[in-house]
Amino acid sequence: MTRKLPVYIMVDTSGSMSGEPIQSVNNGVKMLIRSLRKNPQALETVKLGFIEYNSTAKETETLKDLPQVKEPVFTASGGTCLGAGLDLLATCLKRDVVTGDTKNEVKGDWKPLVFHLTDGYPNDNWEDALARFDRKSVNFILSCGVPGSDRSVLEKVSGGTDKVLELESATEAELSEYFEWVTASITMATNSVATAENDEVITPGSLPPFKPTVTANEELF
Amino acid sequence: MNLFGSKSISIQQLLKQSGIESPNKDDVADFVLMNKEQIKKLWKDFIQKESPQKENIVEEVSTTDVGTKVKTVYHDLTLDNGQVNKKYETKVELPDDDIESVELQENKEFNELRFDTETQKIIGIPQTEGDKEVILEYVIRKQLKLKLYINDDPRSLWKDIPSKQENKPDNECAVSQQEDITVFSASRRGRSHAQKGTPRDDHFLTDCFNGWTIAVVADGMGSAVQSNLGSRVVCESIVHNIKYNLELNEDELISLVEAESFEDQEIKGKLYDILVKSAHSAYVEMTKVAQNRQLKVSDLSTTLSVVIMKQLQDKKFVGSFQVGDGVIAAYKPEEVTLLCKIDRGEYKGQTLPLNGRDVFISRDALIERLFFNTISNETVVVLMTDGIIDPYFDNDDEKLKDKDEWKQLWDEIEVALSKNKPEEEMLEWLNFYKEGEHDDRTITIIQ
Repeated sequence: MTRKLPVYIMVDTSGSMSGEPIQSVNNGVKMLIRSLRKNPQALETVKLGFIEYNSTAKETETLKDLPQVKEPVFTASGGTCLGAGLDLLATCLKRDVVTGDTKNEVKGDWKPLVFHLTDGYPNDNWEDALARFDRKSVNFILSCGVPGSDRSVLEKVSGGTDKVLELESATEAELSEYFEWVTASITMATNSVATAENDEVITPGSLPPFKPTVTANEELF
Repeated sequence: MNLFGSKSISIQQLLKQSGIESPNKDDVADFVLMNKEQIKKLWKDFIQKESPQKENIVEEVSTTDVGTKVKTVYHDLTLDNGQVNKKYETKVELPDDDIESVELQENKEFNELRFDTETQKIIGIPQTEGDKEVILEYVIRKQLKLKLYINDDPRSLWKDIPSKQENKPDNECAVSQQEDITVFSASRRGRSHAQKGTPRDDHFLTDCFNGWTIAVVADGMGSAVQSNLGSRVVCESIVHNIKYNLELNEDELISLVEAESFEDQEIKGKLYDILVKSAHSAYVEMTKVAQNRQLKVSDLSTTLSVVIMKQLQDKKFVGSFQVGDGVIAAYKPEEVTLLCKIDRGEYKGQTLPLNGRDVFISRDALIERLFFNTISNETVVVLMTDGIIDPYFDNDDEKLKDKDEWKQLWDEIEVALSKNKPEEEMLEWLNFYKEGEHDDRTITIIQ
């Protein structure tokens, strides 16, 4: 059996995301799925799941092999229960990710990648949920903040300052660029599967740069 | 007649039925306002009593002569009565809007009535007296609008972008013949490289020397940036070194092999001087090349499988050495012998390279990597990289030792080799598809 690479997209769908932001997220996710479907490596390797949280958390789409994934539709309303989101993520990871069996030399799925997008300060016991969360069950959680989010929260959730990304706005253009970056990151991760030397196919540090900075024109200086 | 049996009754009648004295006509409104709850209850009781009970509606599914499933709903409703020899006419309100082709089902005993679609009436002149059953049959046209997505066949999505590597074709074949021994090699760039336009990391080289056949296969490791260079350096270097070391040691080796009795360790000692020393020199060459290019030797990481073979009077001698996860095997029908120790890592794609830690530390451990055998003339020796082994033998070492699995493999290879253009056929064979298995594939066959 081929080892799969599970990828979760966890989206904050609180009321403040309604309108252009949530519409852009839906478009971005659609673009992501359509683009990955064109990549044979991803088609054979990636499992994709969607989780959203507002006043509660729900599985928008259960983790499935990429060919079986349906485009999710997010709607925004309610609070920002990040804790509920994390608890649900933990449940899904436990239920849907194939774990290896070292005794019988059966290797499970690769360590999952989690891309988390939020725009607000959580209003539940998210710190307790985070303390419960088994960080070893994932390769990384990469948090992306839309203005309105709190960087220190994102850093805590991701477990490092290097696993946080901040967008300048919640506009269609900015979010579309973010999902293009997520697509490129997943693509890079699937390309690394063949040469992976442990359960983690990629490190956050080796992901493609988000919005590569323009190098200075040396002649001007 | 309404099939849903809606009912109506005036408040005064309702009260009267329930034995309550009804107020004057003018006071009804006030009375209702004041006794709302009571009237509600009376109304509920009335509906329950008058409406067709649920158990009076029976559904039955049957199959017609042409195989269509029909659901018959029996309403316990009675139509207006008719009379023999008198025109019967009664309107039926059908329960659904989008009804097509209503027909009154034919009935041998009672066939005087028909349904008129335009007026929605049951019309006719009944001829016989008694209880009758009337079945109206109709078709409801319904549409379901569904969405689905069809995935492309992953096989058609793979691109084949040429690499810009000079001196190294993406796919390559070679045939050489010396006396009775033919060596055929084919190497194909993996789909994962072709998709990105990166070069093939596998390499092979064969040569002849003093009647010896030398065959080398090396698999540059995917995680090493310049492993395609590493595999080439090692192949070229080791062939060169083996010729040098054969010159010094072949006579002694052959006389040992041809002696009536010999000690394994003596032959392995000679093979050590020929194969292991050459492998070590190849490793040293790797470090030099790395240094010159300001690379780490690990940037050139590669596995190594090497075979030397010589035709003796009525048999062939074969000696081999391997570091990594390739395979060297001797095969004849009904028998397969592995001539190698396979270094498997904990993860796919992870193995021990020639430049791996501690490879050249212990003489005993190196001797364990040496194999030799005298084989019959019809036995073939095959060297393969993990790009073939893993998908073909399902990553299963038991299958790798199974003669039936090998028979299938050999049958396929023989078919390809027997064609007009065996090079093309073998490259095509190497392209066999297995999900998740897109590594470079190299095979060398000595027969």
